[in-house]
Amino acid sequence: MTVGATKSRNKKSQGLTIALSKGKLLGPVLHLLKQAGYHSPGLSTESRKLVFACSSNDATFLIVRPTDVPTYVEHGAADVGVVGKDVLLEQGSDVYEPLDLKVGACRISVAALQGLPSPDRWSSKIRVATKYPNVTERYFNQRGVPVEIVKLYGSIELAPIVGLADRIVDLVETGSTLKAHDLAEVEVITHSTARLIVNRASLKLKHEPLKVLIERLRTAVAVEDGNRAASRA
Amino acid sequence: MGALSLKASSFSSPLVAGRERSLIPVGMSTILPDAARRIRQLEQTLLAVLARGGYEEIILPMFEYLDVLAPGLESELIEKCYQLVDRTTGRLMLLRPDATAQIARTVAMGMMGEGLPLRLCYRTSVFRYEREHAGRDREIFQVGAELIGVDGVAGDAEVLTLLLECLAQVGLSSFKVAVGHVGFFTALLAKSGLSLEGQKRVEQAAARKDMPLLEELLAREGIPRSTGRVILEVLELCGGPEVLARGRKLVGRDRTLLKPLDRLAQVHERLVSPGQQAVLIDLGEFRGFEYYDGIVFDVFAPGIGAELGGGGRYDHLMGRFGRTAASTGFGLDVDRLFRALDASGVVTPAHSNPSTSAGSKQVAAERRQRRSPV
Repeated sequence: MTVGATKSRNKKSQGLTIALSKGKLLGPVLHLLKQAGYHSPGLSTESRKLVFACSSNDATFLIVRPTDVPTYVEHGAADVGVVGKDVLLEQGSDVYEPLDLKVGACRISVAALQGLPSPDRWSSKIRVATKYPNVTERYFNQRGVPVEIVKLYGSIELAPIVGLADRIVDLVETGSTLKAHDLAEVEVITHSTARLIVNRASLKLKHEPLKVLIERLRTAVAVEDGNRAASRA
Repeated sequence: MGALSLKASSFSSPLVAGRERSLIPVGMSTILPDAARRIRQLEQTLLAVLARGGYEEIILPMFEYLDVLAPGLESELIEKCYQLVDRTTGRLMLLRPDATAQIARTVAMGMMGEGLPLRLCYRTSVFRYEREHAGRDREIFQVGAELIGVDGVAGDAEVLTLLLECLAQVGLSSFKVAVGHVGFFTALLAKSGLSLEGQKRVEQAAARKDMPLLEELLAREGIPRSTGRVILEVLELCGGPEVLARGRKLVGRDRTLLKPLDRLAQVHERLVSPGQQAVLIDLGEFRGFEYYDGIVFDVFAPGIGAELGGGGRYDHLMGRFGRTAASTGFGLDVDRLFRALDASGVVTPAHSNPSTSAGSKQVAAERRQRRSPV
């Protein structure tokens, strides 16, 4: 971080800077924030701007790539962020994660081509394509399975089809993408939902506004969760 | 890595053919004269404050035998060490990852004689293999102090007062020192009915304030709701003296839990004088080195996402080297302190100290120069 950036940010040091994940999470998270009393007029899933002022509270929203959210928060460039647990597990960032927002539910799973025999004992090295190399390595290491990881950035489903890998480790929401590519979900590694993360220094330096944000969001999550449960019933 | 203001990186184009190998190891930097002068001045200011408090400087060896120092290092830190082999004996050595363990080793070996108390301070580099891209350096410049042989509130208060004085003298204004007590949360866990394995897991989750995971862990072991709620609430207790009152209410009449709270209250009382709003009481923080066993504290300042330093009481550490003595200390990360000063607009240490007044006119001239628009 340059000194200039530090200084310009410091001017509004009393307000909160909130990093939000661009993409699928943005809609439901904006809805939650609105319920909690934090909204910004121009900010929607359609907008192209990256920085928005919050109209109701002294806060600024940053719209960044999901995988960048932990970085912004860990460095203190943002005080708070919202990001999937999958990203946190992969990056192992040093941040607090006080709240499960219970939106964006999905799972990280191992998948293989339909009909690929699952060996009782993993004797020889298997090749796994994924955009979660750390989660994948930890998972197979813990089970003593030798693994070669092929790091990809997208379209992971393609890898087994073209023979790039035996299996994939990828994010699964409904499983329809896997099915469409003739893949079967073999094992679930972990479940993931959106988390609120907080910078360690910010929690001390901006204790009051953060406490308010966390409390209000906690209430909003409980209400929304209740609504979802009611609509299912 | 590091602050651009402070350190020079290698600017040669990384894409020139034949030059792909980096010239300087990741996490290491060369500090050029302008920054070097300012950083040394900052260190001098800190050392002068420590000297006025009666703390004598000690210079520690850069590498030591792993087996000798290991009792004073937590396993996680040992994993971050740079290790090398002693050419004569073949024994493993490590580049110093932490000065406190070295000082404990030095004192326990009797190198300072038997007399206590001892007041020691240091200015040094420690080396840690930090995760790449975490914005952390692998050579960390530290200034710190250790008070050995003073037990109780007096020792805690002396060291914290010294830390506050250091921060005031370098001109840092809007900082916070969060003070907690490791005994409080560990006693709370021990009382909770959690299994040992469960306590360990809860501790790890609590260090990240991972409330969803904590709720899951507590539920899994069938911990009563009321106990669980106390654990969760304590982790969010941070603020003024009202935090202690709330803590007391939560723990009831339990002596082992009240004792750490009393201690915090006494230390806080001794610190609170006008303008000491910088001190926060934080019952939910206990992370850091395993060797702390009493009060612990961390320093935070705007613009820096991580702690500028911290410390605490580590009565058991000396014992690991074969001699028991009550000890308290702190260390400051000079680079982060420097960046915090930059972020708050303090160009150089506000108070230069008399012992370095040689050339102070020139420094003063430079200060004036630097205040002109950048």
